[in-house]
Amino acid sequence: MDIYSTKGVSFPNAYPKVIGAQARVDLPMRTSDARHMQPSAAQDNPERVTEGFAAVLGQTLGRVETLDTNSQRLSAQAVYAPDSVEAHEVVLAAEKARFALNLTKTVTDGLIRGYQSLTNPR
Amino acid sequence: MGMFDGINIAATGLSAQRLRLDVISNNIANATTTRNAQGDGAFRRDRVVMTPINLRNVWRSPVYPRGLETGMGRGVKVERVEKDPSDLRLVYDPGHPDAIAIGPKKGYVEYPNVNIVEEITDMISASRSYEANAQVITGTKQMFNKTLEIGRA
Repeated sequence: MDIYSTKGVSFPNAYPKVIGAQARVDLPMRTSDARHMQPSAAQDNPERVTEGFAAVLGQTLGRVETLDTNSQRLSAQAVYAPDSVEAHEVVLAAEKARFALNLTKTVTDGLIRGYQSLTNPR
Repeated sequence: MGMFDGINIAATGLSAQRLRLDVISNNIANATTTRNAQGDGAFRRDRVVMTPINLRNVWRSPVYPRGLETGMGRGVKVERVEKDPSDLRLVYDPGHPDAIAIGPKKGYVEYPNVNIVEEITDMISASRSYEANAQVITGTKQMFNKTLEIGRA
């Protein structure tokens, strides 16, 4: 139709403009400056318990998994490209992964023992 | 995790001392090299400049000098490897292909300013520092194991 124009319409699902209408340019106004969005000190406290235990356990296992894959990658690199890794990096990554795994296992063992001692009617 | 901070800091120490040892090894290998990579003279001794890693900025003010202290550091890093600007050793040897042709030092050959005894002493020091950092890691590991023993029984 003659009274509508599709020139200057940028979005695929926008309506065609009436010919003669002024194009309205939206100013790029930021409604909130990044400086006001600084995380507050309270949010960074890692001891705040906001999620359920399952989520925390999942996060911990994810971290252990990251350490483990990192250590495996470094060990493989030590075999295939020995000049690209430092010796202490490989050893320390293996130690960190081993310790994180042991710690998670010990903690979950204790929790399971506590749970069992609560639920076993003896 | 925050528990690995000690290990990470010691790891930076290990890296830095290994780099220092590599630099010393290069110095010793090039102790009698009369040419250098740029082609303008003899090899000069390298030395390593280390600096601590601090995550916070350091600002000083005479009004409140202790206000913005950086707190605990995060280890060491090698800032740069620079050439030692001290004088080169001169040895009189007119037949040498690198002998100086003109000027007051005619006939002398410039040898690097590398003192082998000093380099070996530096190497011993770097190796002891490396061992000390490894000891820190062993100590931290023992702490961890003792902690796990608390939760085990």
